[in-house]
Amino acid sequence: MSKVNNKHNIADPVTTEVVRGWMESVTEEMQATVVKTAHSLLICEARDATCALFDRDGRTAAQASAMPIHLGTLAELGRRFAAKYPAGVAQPGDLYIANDPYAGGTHMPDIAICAPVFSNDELVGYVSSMAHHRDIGGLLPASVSVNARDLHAEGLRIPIIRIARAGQIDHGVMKVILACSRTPRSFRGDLDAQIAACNTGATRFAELFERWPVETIYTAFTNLTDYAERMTRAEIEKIPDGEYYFEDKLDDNALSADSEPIVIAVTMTVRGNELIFDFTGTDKQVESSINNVLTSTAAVVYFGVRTLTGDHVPNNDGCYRPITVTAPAGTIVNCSYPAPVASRGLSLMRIEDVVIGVMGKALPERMTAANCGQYTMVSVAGPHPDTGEHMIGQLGGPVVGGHGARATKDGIDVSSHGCTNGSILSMEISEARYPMKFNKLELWTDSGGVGRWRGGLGYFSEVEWLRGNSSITFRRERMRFQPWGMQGGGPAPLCKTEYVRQDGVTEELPGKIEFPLKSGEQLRYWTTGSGGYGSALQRDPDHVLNDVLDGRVSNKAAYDNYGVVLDGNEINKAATTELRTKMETSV
Amino acid sequence: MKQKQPESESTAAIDPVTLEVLRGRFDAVADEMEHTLLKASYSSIVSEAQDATAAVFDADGRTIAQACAIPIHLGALSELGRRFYQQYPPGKAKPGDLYIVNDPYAGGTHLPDFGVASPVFLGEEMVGYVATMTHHQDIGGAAPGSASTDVFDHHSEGIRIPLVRLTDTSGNINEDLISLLTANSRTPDNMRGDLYAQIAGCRTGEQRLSAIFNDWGINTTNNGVSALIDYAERLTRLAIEQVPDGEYTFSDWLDNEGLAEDSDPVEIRVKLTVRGSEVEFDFTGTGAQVRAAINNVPSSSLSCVYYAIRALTGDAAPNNDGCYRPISVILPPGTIVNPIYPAPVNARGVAICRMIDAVMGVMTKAVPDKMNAAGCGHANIFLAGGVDGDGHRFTGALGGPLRSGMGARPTKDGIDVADHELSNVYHVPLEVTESEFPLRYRRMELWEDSGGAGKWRGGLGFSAEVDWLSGNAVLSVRGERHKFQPWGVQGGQSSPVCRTEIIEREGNTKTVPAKIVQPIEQGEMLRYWSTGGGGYGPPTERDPELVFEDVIDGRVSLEAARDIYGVIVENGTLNLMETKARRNELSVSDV
Repeated sequence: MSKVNNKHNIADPVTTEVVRGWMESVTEEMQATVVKTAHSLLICEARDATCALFDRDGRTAAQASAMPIHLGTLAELGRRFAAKYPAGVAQPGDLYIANDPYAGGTHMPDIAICAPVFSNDELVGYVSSMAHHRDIGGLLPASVSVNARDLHAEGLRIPIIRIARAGQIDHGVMKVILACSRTPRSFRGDLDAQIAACNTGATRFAELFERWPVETIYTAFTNLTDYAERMTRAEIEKIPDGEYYFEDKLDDNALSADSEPIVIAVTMTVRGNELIFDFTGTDKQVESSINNVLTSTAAVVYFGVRTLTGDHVPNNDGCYRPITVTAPAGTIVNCSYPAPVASRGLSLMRIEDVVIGVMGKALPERMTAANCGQYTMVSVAGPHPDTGEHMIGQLGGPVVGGHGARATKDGIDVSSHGCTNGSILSMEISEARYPMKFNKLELWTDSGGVGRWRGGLGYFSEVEWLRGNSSITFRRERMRFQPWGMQGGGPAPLCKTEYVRQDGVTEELPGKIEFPLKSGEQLRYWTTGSGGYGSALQRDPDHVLNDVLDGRVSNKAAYDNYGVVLDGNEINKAATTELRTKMETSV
Repeated sequence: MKQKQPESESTAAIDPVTLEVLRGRFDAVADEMEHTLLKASYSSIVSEAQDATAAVFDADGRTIAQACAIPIHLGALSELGRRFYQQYPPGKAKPGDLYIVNDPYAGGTHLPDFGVASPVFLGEEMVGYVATMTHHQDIGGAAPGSASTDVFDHHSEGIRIPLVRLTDTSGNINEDLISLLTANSRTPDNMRGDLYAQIAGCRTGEQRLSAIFNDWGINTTNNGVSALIDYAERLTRLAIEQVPDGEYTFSDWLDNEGLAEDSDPVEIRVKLTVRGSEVEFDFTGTGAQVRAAINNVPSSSLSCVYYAIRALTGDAAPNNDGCYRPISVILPPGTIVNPIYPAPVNARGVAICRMIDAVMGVMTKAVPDKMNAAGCGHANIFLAGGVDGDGHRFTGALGGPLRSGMGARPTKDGIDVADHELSNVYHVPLEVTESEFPLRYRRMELWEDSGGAGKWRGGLGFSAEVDWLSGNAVLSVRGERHKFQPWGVQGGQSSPVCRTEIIEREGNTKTVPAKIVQPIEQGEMLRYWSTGGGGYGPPTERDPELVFEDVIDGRVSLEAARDIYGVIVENGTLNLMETKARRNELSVSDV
């Protein structure tokens, strides 16, 4: 292939756009490689993986859009990889690996693999892939126990090290890494998928440098990051200058249901085209593993701001330049070593709520009401009554409820959303694997916050244990503080869990609990929807009627909350107008 | 092509003088390695407690010599020698190589014990291996100190290292691997320092072992190795022949399964069969493996048996593979003495003590005149991790005696508060502990009447009081012998059970179970009593003068002297008349 002649090494807009497209297709191809070749469902099905491409200084040049929470994370890791293995140190055929949350990582199941990319013996950049692994040792299977008291109890910690030289895997290092997992075979398969992605990425990225001189491509990088920065700044400039504050709370410290709620607070300062998110006022780090390192918190902020700029802006370092994230050390959003972090997902959702919330104060027309704000993780453990084999895993079905109502639309019912948009595991697989069945899984009527635009609905699920005993670990939030509405919209209800014992007695359970579920017993859980947007009395009565017909809103709520009077399947317009007027004036 | 050797050298028996010189030199290699290890290590667990071992193997992985600082590593290193040979045999091993392993299910013992080995060459030819084993202070896992009993499985216990090369292809230390290992420790500097001490130990051993082969030639030296192994076997068989043929059984019990205080006791059952010069130890009937991390993998269980037989043969026999040839051991899979992966094992020391009791117990049945009563049967392990008042983090094991009283001997009293049997480690001085942790030992003293009464009294245990001065910590306590007393033999009595208390700030005394993870904070006090050994022979046969001395020294109370020994001490003098009467009374009431 002959190089395009470009005397002045100037990347004109067309070249820049071609380089951009090339790099994005490199990351998408890497992403496809990981997802297609990985072994575990977590990556193949739930797609908890991401890929990125960095320049030789470790700045993110492109990133596949998979798991938004990984956006900011890889940005930090890219800088770290480049700092440890810069030009002169990095060699062709090298591979690096890392998962240390206190050295650029998030939580330890997320392992990043990185390869330097060379063109004519010159280091031109790096490619990297990050994936969530099923088990990396530690306190309990799956390596995300809330009970770990420090980082070292959470499993294998990998500082940034070399795992291959000259294309040869360092078997010593690899064997030690694999030996720490309870599922070494799929672990190896998943790591190999990441390595394959890096190899693919490195080849494709290097090919780009056969087309244009290095200087041209680097000029294009600069153009692209400057462009992303410009676009981001342009959006920020539309936000009225000022200071905005928002806070929300976690139910408890995840260890005891009657512990104090945990406040997550943020002040957003808008000054021209710069944004500062300051989490001062947030509570201290806790004993359980729901702490977040700053990288993880910053990733949520980047996600929030990224929602403003849209698809046409490339995913690169330029997006983050106008943003500063600060948080006092030792807080749950910037914990200090060796605080445990494995179950940070529990608090990540609340960090997202406050980021969306504070942006909503400044830009009410662009942001949504609160999402359901929680993850319902139901883990099963114990011997299978038929085979005696140990069951370890998650119950299938949705884990999140409704998506927040928007300024111009209803929220989406039961859907993955926000910064952790993983896919759902199938209920049928659970039923095949464990001696249980789902008696019901349905939308939960009236679980969307009322509003001109209604919050997305949550769901109700009834699980029956058929044979033998199992140990169930239940882990969820939003048992004490409701997902909030916006601009007069109502909140969504609290989540609720019930346990129907063998003797028929029904017990209500706290958000986090481990208990035995025996043959014939039922677990019933309601997972909330999201907040509403705008006054419920302004909702189009036709929409309310539709909701009632669809079972999303009850007749009673239609009357009590929306002021809509129904005669069978018809709206009584006169009565509705009268009722709404009365309700408006009584407020 | 094999080198042709002069006939005399390849076949002739080695003269006894050369053999003895060779033996001395092999032992010196192991000893020098051990010293290198102890002098160069960072953590007090090695430099002070000496929880480390060195061994020398021939090119077939057979143990030639072992520095016996800690007998519990006996079986472990012998097993590891075979593993090194299997994975890195001559031809595959390269000069400069270093290997590392800690996987209990691949020849290791428990995860904190790292084995580091290297092949030894004379010129191009590989002549053997040298290895060191060190207990590392923290290797990650559920709780600081990496020896928590309450873990989900083996993978909750810390970093697991299968047998791998620690060097890269050019013989340099693989710094990536070292970084990976140290990143998983709560005390990374200690781990690095201790690892490098192990490497230094191996490097020293390589030079010395190579020099021996150089001085005598490879064939002669190898013949010497074989002769020494045969010699150790002969001496062991001779000792076994002294034991009357027959079947003997013995059981002892662990307080519980290691977690719930009220869980069932766990039986360790041993049947000893002696037939001529061979012995078989059969653990059939021993309790199933447990959820707590007190299971023992075979190399650990074998160490108990090897130790017991080694106690019969004494110093004369060299420490090599020959010692183990006449011994067969049956360890049923799925039991606490041979658990199935991924059973956790890091706190195996708890059960080892009882295994030793059972093995020694069964031998008292066969050779009562050679064996002691039970030792204290537990280790005083208090692991603490936390932050002091100034914000400094600390983690590790508290110092003071690890073991307490030794069992009474057939001809002597047991030794008071002394390390004995398998672990045989030195005390970490209290002063070292006081400088590392925010605490002060208010008191540490012999515990009166804690030695089992007998013609020969069991060694005494001790009691201690520790003030927590600042900050707070999580304390993992791993006690035993809170329910079943260390037994006496031949009419000797048992010693008392142990006890642990925490005195809270308000002054409330809380008795804590034998095994617990317990927070402790500034102003609280830890108080514990650690028992002594069992007695040997009837107490009424004890020389009254000895009982009198014990009373004067505070080892035996006046009441115990009167009620158990039948010795009357009044106003600081021994009343022999009253004693005689009292002893008559006791023997009558006995009948």
